[in-house]
Amino acid sequence: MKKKIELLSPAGDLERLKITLLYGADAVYIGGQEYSLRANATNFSIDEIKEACCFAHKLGKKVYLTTNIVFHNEDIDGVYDYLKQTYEAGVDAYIVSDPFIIAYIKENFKNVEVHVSTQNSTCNKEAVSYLKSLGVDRIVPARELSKQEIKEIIDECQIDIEVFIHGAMCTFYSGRCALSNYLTNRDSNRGGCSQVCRFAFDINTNQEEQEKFTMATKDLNMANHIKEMIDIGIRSLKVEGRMRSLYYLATVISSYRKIIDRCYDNTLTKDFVKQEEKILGRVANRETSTHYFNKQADETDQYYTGRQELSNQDYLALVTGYDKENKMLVLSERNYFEPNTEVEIFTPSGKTFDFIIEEIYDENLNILEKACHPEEILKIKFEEEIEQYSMMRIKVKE
Amino acid sequence: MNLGSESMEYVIIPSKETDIDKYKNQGIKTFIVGLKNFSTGYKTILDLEQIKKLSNEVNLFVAINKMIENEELKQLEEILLFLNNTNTKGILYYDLSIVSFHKKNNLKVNLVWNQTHMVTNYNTANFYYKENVKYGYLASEITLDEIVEINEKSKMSFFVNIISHPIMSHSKRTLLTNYFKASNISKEHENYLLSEKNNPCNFIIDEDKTGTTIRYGNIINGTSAIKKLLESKISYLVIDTSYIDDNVIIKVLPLLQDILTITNLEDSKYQQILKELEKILGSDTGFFYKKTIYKVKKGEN
Repeated sequence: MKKKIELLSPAGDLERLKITLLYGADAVYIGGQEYSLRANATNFSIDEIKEACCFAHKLGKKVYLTTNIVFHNEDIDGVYDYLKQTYEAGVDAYIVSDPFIIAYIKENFKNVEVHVSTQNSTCNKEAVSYLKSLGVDRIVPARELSKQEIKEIIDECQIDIEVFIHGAMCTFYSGRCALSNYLTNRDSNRGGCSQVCRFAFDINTNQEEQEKFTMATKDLNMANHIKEMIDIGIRSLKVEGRMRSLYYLATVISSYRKIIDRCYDNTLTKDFVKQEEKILGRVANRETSTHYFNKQADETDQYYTGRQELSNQDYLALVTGYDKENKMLVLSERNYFEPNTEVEIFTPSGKTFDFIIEEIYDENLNILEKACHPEEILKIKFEEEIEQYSMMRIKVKE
Repeated sequence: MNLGSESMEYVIIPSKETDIDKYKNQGIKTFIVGLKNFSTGYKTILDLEQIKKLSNEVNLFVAINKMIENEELKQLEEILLFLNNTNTKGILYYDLSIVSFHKKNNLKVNLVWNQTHMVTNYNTANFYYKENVKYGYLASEITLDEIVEINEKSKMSFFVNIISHPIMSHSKRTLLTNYFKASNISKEHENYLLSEKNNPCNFIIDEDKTGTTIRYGNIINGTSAIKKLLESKISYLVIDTSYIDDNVIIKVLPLLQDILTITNLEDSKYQQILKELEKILGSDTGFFYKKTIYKVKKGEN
């Protein structure tokens, strides 16, 4: 029997890692302090990597370490010690792009997988076969591949294939873009990408009033195609976003967890996917598309002028405990809310509770007119205790 | 002692096929061209028969540097077998399918590791050397010191861009077509200039069947690095003439050839030539003397 498809989440720090595993990710990918393509994320120290692995392994889940920069000479010396330390910390796989690292890991470490990063933009069966011959265990192909191309690779190469299902997309082939180097002196292939593809440019046309030239892409959202991805034999579904917030990750992982599980127990309906798409739509601040999966990406997959990235205010509070004596949820406030707000609490185990807030109390049980101080401890009446790390958001209407 | 090394030579990427004879007459023996339907970012694109013929006349390297799709693999393998039986001196590759076919078919034609921005360290060069890749085309985004160190610590022979509008990025997306379609105006050219408020330089954006390529708008003038590159015995110094006027190249070539004839003791002559080159090419030295950063200090975002 085929293994159940893996849901792979990003995690920028330990708190995010724990949340995302509790919310249903089967594995997480993280970056250490060096050699990862998100040099400006919080990232993990060696001790934190150890703690991350312990936490994940206790849950029967995995931790993959991104070591996917394109190395310069100066990066080489320290990497061998780093690999040894992180191997001993217990990582389950390295996500790499530079082939000398593949060879080194395979020669020196046992029982750890090597996954080739999308940074390599692996586009075809022959390139996959070549990487497989080097001992690579999994490949994250170029994000430019169609469903048919991915299927052909899986059918012919019989190697684990991981694909992105949600989050930001690069405009250019990964690895084939140095705009950030030239415009901002930040090395995109060593984790310094300054997202120049989201800048607005002037273009020399003959038009008198010319719109700015932009090339920014919409985000990826594959919620409606998970069943197809399972059917063609993809091994792992990856969410983008090591620098995203706790709420974003909890929401996205929770939605995809439910969709995947429903695919396997044959209870997935169009209405369910539609509702999850609404939830996913509200947590993101960009429009989404499926890009190359079923067609060549075109103008409908990009943004042009006049778009603003609005910050999302849906996330109202984190559930931090339960006051049994007074039958109240203990909350840590995140965004403004007031009595009579229609809310929804969603939990790591996938339950949801919809209700209207009647009264808001401070931690000393004084009634408040509104909740308007981020991280303030609040209480609201609630009949039952619910899991820690549950989150309260504005109810997403069906 | 001459600065010029017998093993070093200038290589030209011609903007059009007819320029090749012109540059041959100026002493250039080695050229890089694209292959029809399999190259991206090259202005001189030839078919296999043209390549076969030209490979008998000059030292010819062929760039097969587009991202290869499944449906192109069969044809690609046939192309490699064909080129193996020509006098083509080497094939520049981006996609690893080429390394795979080269290995499987035990081809004798040389390979050039040419992954644009990713040819940045000696360890990976040594990895590919063991895979029978004898040449590397170094990224334009590394420093002169890095170039020298890579050359010292690897057995590969390297190409280094010294004059070019370097490629900054390549997308499968048809970014110009998409933009004009969304703006509801007609696209009249294959390429345009982009500018951005915080950057003094323009950027050349170009669309073809492989997608969209953006190049740096200034000419990178790496001629001041030539002396050190010669001393470190770099094999090939590349002049990519794409988007550079023929007359500029014609003026520059004799000066470049002069550099090879002067001696270490005549440093003032070298400096004089560099000044002349700077007048023609400008003074933007790209990343030869400038390191990129990737960790941003707090408050510097």
